[in-house]
Amino acid sequence: MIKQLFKYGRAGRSGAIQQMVDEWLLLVLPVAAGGIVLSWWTARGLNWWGAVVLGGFVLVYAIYFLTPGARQRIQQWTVLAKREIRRDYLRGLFTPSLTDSQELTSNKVIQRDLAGIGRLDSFYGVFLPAICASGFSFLLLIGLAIAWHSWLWLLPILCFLLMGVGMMCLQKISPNINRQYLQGFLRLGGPFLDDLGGMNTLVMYGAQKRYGQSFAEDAEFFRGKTMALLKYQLQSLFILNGLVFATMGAGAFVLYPAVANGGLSIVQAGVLWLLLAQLLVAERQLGYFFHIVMSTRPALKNIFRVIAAGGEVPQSAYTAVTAPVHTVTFAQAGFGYPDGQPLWQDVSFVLQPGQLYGLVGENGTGKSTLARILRGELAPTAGQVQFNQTDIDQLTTADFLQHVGYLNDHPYLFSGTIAENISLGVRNQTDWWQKVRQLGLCAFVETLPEGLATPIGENGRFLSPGQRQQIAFARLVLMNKHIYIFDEATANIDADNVQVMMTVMKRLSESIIVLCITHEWRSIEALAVIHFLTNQHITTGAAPVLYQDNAGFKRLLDTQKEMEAAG
Amino acid sequence: MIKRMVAYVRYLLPVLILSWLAGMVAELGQVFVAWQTGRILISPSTQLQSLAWTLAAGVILAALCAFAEQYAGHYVAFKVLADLRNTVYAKVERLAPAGLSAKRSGDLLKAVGSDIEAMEVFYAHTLVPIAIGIGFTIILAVGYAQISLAAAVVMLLVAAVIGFALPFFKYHQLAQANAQLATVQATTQQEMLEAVRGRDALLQLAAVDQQMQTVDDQYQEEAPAQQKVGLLNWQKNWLAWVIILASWLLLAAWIGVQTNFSRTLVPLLLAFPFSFRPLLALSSLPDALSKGLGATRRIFALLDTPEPVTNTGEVKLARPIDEIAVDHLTFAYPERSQTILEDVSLTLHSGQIGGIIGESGAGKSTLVKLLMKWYPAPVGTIRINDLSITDIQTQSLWQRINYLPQQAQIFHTTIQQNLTLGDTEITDPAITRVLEQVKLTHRIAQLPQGLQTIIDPTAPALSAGELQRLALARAFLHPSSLLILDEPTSNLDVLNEKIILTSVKHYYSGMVLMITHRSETLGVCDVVWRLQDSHLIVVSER
Repeated sequence: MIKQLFKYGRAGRSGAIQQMVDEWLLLVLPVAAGGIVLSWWTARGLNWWGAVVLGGFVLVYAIYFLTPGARQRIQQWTVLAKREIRRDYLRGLFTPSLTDSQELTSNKVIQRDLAGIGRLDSFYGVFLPAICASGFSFLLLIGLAIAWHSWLWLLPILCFLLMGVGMMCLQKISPNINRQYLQGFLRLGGPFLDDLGGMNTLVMYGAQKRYGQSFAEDAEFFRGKTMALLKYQLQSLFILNGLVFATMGAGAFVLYPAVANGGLSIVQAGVLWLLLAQLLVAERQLGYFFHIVMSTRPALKNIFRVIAAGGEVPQSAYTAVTAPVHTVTFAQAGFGYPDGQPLWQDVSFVLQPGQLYGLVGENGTGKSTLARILRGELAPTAGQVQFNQTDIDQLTTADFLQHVGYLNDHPYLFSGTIAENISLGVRNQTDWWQKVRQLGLCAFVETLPEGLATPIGENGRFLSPGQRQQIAFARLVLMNKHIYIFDEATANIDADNVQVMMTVMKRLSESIIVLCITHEWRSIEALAVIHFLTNQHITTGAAPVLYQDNAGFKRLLDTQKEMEAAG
Repeated sequence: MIKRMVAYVRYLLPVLILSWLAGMVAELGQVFVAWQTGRILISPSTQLQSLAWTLAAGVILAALCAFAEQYAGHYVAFKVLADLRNTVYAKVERLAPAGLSAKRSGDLLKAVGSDIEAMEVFYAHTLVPIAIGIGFTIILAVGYAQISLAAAVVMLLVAAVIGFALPFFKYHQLAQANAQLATVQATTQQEMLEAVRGRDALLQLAAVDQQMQTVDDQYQEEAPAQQKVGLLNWQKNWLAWVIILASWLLLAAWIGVQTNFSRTLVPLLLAFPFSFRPLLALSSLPDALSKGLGATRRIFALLDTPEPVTNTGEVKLARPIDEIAVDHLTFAYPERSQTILEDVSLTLHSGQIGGIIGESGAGKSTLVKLLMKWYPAPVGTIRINDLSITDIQTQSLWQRINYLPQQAQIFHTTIQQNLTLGDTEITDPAITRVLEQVKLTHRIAQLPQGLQTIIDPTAPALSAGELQRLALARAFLHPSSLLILDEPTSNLDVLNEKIILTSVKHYYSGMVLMITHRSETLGVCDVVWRLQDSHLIVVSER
């Protein structure tokens, strides 16, 4: 995984080298200055040459940093690597074939991944350069120590080993504190804002005191857990600090015999010790960043899985069906999940332009599964499904995307204006608004003071559900797909908006294939041909006929009407 | 403000001081190790043993104190955090409902979360380090003065420059650059998130490349901002070190010549570059300070928000509401000149369902909020059970009223808790009954965890209509004699609308007042008014 991280931002590597050198210089310059000071002291006289060389070097270095090239290289590796990882991650995520691997694309995972990409700063910008700078310094220490016949270079290794052992022991003692802390956090962070937001309701129901009390208890519980986690983390801090200080002190004793018997001069001993001290301080900081880098590992793992998915499939390969799809055929088709009964079987019907088709059934009968087959997300487990005369297993996900438009009851809208949302897929057309209006959609826009330029907020939160749905409907219809599937697209919106959308569906169905999935009786009455899915089978007919002949269909409609009437 | 801030942590002051003292010892410990090393290197072997012991003691003490400092600091932080949250909670409780109905409440609440955290950081991780920096420098300077006055003066000067002058000199630029970076990063993150959430839409609309380009373009703005921050940090770091090293060399030269390079001063020289560590850590101080102060100011502003003056009235509403009468009510918001309601009169009796229609913004909500005493009504204009509303004790009025807003208020907790709101006296049969009344029994039984299903308002397991029905069930569950419905169905499909209206009609025995802008909704009403141009007229009555 770490190896993969090195593949990114290659063009910015000179920036990485510059930063490494820079950090290394900050580490060793105090050592050099110390050497100069101590040499004055042992020589009992000022010799400014060293100081002048040092000062001159710093000056030259500062001038180097005035050049645009040097400034360009600051943080360059991080910046470029993050850009490339982001790009590849998105490309992977947008690979059509990724649709069915839901664990990769769940909201939580994605939020974690995006945060993970942001945190790569610590890796590219801090951790790696610091490791390298420490490494160089350590090499320098080894070189100097060996040249001056001292064993001092063993100390950092020893210190490092002890740190590892100490951390491991701690981990063994209390490995699950982290989880408890998180639970406490979940218990508190959310409810606090939640309770504040719902305070009006709480007050009106006289529940605010109760909630205040349980909130205070939660806060206290959380505090207790946090302190427990802290104690654990501080123990590691204690070990790190103690070891660093102790090793510095030990350095003095390692050097002492050589100084006492004249094997090392004070200057040499001082330089070695300063180098040791600087190295240890840096090591302690590394420990901290190591923690951060390790905590991004789960995110990184998923990021690279997504990126790998993007690498496998060639983009935009529309090949199998190039002509418009004018016939969808189900021939004795069936579907069942591997571990269960068939959801439905022996399904045969043909969809063609000219009529508004309905797919009706109770919840859980497999309506949406059938839609997913038409979208290429699932394959039938029996029989055949064809677009024109082509079996759909010949089609790529890209084909489905090109031919099939699908709208459910919770489409996503982008923050921006109404115009930007509707024209998202047709940026280079000019008459899209005319087309939308001709269809009779989005009339409400004309009543808004800002019209098409009205901002709609994230996921359209400034709009009503019906308005949101109309926008999603309009932008999809503008894409001129050959098959439209509306999957409960009129659920959860008010009656006026349902009316508008059903009318448009009807008009669309005159020239292209439209399948409307619903279980709501008012929409059902607008459908010309209904495929009623019940008991694993399809029964086809017009609504009044089905109502008379099919007990299940009658029950579905009657229950709803009774519910409405009785309340 | 400072005084008030200290008042908040008064009882924690001893702990803060402990953290401060421990922190100074911990920091001094490092200097001590360097100084002691110098002494060991130049001392005869006879002293070695005692030096070793003091060194070991110093190391352990320093490490222990580092622990104590952090522990005490965090103790304060989390105490403050919990206290502040409780204080804010209590304040918001007193502000509700009238003080919260304003549109700003959403933004305010969003800010509260992060502001409280910023304040916590300020108390524990800003104030203490500053105090440590100052104390540490003074103690060290006194120590230096014992050996060389010049060294002490130089040390103080350098400390003042790198600890305070330098941060504040670079502060403005760095704060700006950081703020800019944060804004751009937030935008990038937001665009990424939107691209991902709208994945299906982008694929269907063949707009993937376009969106990826947008994200990349946005990122192109982030890079320079990040580089700028990098450069400024680099400058700050190097300036600090160059100052330390230059002063080290000059100081060494000066006292070297003065003391003829006395060997006893070697330990002091070795310790010098380690004398500024806590100050170097302070370099991000101004940023932390301004953030902390800003957050504190906002929290205090919230705590100082005047509370609505509707909590007047002494008379408890002893029996259920059986009559409301509005008599020639004229109302305008204090800060706005426009009259919302003019000469409005209505009466409603127990068992009746009243409906008010009117365009959005006509003042329908204002009228019912006056009835609920969210805003103070002009004296003598509203009577409930023949008592003037201004005389009625607000809490006792609210106990008799249940209010269902347009957007159901759903808490992120179990369905059961959403219904009972923590009232342990509500029995399971009662819950079963109200769920049956709003036709949710079957739906909730389908959920794997039934009543114990946790509802996440951002991704609810129930549809909007079902949530609104759940809120209605809540209103049925808690006894009341007046039910106010504010556009209860305007965003719902027909089925849910019907269920809500008919269950209100059948199962609610008290008085109902419903606001709507859709006339179809009003079939269930006994009397309907229209609110238009601030006037209320009866449309139908039976």
